[in-house]
Amino acid sequence: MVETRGGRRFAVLFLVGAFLVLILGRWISPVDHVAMSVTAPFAAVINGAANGVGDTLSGFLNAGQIQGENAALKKQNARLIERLVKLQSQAHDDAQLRRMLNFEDGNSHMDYLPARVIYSDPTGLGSYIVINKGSRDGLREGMTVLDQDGYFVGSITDLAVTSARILLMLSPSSSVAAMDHNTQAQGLIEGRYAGSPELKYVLTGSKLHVNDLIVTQGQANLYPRNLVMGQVVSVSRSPQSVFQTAQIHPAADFAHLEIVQVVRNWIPHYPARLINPH
Amino acid sequence: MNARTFHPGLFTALWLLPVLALLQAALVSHIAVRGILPSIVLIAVVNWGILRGADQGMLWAFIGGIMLDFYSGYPFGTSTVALVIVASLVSLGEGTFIRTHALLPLLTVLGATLLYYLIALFVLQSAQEPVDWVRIMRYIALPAAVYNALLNIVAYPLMRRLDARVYPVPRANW
Repeated sequence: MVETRGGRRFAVLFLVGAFLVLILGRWISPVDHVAMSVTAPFAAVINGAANGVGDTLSGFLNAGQIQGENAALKKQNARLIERLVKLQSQAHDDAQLRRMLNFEDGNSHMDYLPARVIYSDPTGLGSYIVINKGSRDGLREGMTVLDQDGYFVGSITDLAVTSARILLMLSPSSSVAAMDHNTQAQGLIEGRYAGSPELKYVLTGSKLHVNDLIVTQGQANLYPRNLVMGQVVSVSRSPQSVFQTAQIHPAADFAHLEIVQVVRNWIPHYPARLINPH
Repeated sequence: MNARTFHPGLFTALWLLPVLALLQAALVSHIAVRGILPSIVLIAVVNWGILRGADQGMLWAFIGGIMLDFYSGYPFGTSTVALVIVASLVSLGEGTFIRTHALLPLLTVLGATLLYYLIALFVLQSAQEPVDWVRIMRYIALPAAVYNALLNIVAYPLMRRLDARVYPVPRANW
């Protein structure tokens, strides 16, 4: 079958079609969810195979580096065990106090559902991942997602039957109430494209120190509280501004996110009077 | 171009682009270099536009864009609009001219990637998404454009072979 190259008869048609897709995109979301469900098994297989090949290759290529990391981790482990013993004794005291105060801490009853990351945002802007668990597994929009070490990753924004899309805390569309674990200084963590997230809107009167841990505030019941989000790398203040801003190094390793955990029994309680998220 | 000759390119797009989009979504994080991701769908669309002209390039862009939109969480149609406009502009440069110069397909992919991001960001900003233009162009789009251009050293000959298979040149029977 022969064809002459070129031809622009349909060009305008495709341009108009593309803009129609954009304009009508809102109504295509049910199709989008079906596509997510249909492609999820294929993506899981491809991703699983790529993980296997990648692990083997990187193990082979980075053997020396892994040995060094192993030695460093052993030292770190010893230090952590020492700290753990101290913390356990503190936790014992803490538990007694909580019982005395009849304090119900939502974070201690969290039900985690592990899930595998099957694909990520193909546009390169890195704001989303998709996991292989969906509404069939009891997930709901807004549920909090942690990495395999329990560090904050993001929350579910789109749900299909067998998969769910997670908005990462790295995305500029993400805004999470957070606080400095040491000083209790409060602000909002907002993501940035191609850069570390920032802790913004912290009053200049509040104290922020480099290396302080930043955790979720848990205000408005959108996220469980005290989930580790990251660590302060630098703080910028200006005398004219009411607020200070801190650069945050995320605790979760977003470059190698393979397994995550969804907090299944923490369902966000949106103040219906003010916000209608759906 | 009539309907019959349009079909081979359409059928190829209908099986190849969903596969490429799936690979891009599932594999890009494994082939990312310093967090920079290649766009194999964009590379395929631009090359097909160079090899087959505006109609076919834009058809591929339309299908490839929809596939990418299925996988991304941004407003549906962002990638479709960006890819279709990129394909239409690529075809303005006339495929014959680009095909005859070894470096031009590489440079075309480089320029097309930058343009793709510019259009996608414009669409995102129009949809009230927060966009940091300078940061994205500097740290995401430009490195991705270079990565895509380098990948096209391998991809362009492959697409030429695919073109030769989909549209074989008829042999004269003596």
